Amino acid sequence: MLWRAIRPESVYKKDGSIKPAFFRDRRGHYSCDLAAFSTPEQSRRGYATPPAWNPDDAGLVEFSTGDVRNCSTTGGPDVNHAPLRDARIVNYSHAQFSRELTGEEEKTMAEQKARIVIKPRA
Amino acid sequence: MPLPVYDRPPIDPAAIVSVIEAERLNPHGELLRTAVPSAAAVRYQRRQQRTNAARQRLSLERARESSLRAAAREELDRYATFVRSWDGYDGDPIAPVALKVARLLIDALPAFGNAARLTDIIPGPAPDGSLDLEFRTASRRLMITVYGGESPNVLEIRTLRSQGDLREDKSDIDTDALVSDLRWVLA
Repeated sequence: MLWRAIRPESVYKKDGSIKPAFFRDRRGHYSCDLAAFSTPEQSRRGYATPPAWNPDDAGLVEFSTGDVRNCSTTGGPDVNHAPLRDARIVNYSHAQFSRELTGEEEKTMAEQKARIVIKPRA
Repeated sequence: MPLPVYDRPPIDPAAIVSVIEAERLNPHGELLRTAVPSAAAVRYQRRQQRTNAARQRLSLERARESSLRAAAREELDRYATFVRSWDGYDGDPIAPVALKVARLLIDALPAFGNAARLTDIIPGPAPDGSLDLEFRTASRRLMITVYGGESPNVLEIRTLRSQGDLREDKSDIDTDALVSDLRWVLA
């Protein structure tokens, strides 16, 4: 299982669903946390010290590696474990998508695969 | 015997008889005719408008549209304050050129069609510094993605049209294609 913190700006105000832009990273290494090495509270608040946002407002999104691999008919990206250790962030649970998602894949992930387990505070 | 004094001029008795006779023959005035000018002679006068319900752009719709645009601009202003790692990971700040283009599109919307059709304008920030601008009507949805380029004035635009199950995804489009997409969503 994978987790990623979500800001209030990344959810639709009307129905609380996830905006497709939440899953976009053209730089090719979309970040998330492996749930096995993290806790919901730690992933929700983020590992950066100090945080660059107000972690009290953050929510948490959950999806699986299978969701990522099957987010399109031709096959989605893989997810690689990529622990982080630098001056600001020490995050052993950090993982990355192997490539950028297409527009359709972003929508599929946001609308059909991922779910919000902790709502961000609007 | 003094003569009676009348406060009005004396009436000819024959005239009184003729009025009584006319009253008797025509007690309810059916035979009376009122001269009415022909329809052509009646000047056309616009019906007084008590509400603006018949107008295409209701004041209520106009207010809603302007409120949607104001809310979207307000959200874009929030994105402008995002710093590196705004997403809790290594998110890039939203590209200033993307914010500028998004604001321009929101301001220019009425030029592309009936903006009152819009039910929602939803911006969305992405970790790579790009942003989405989503326009929704009752039946159509247009997602415009604006990427900042290498230099401050370079950008790339991608659009995704959705109507029911039909979707049309276009990458790296030019201004004409963008205008055509905006006209499509407001048509």
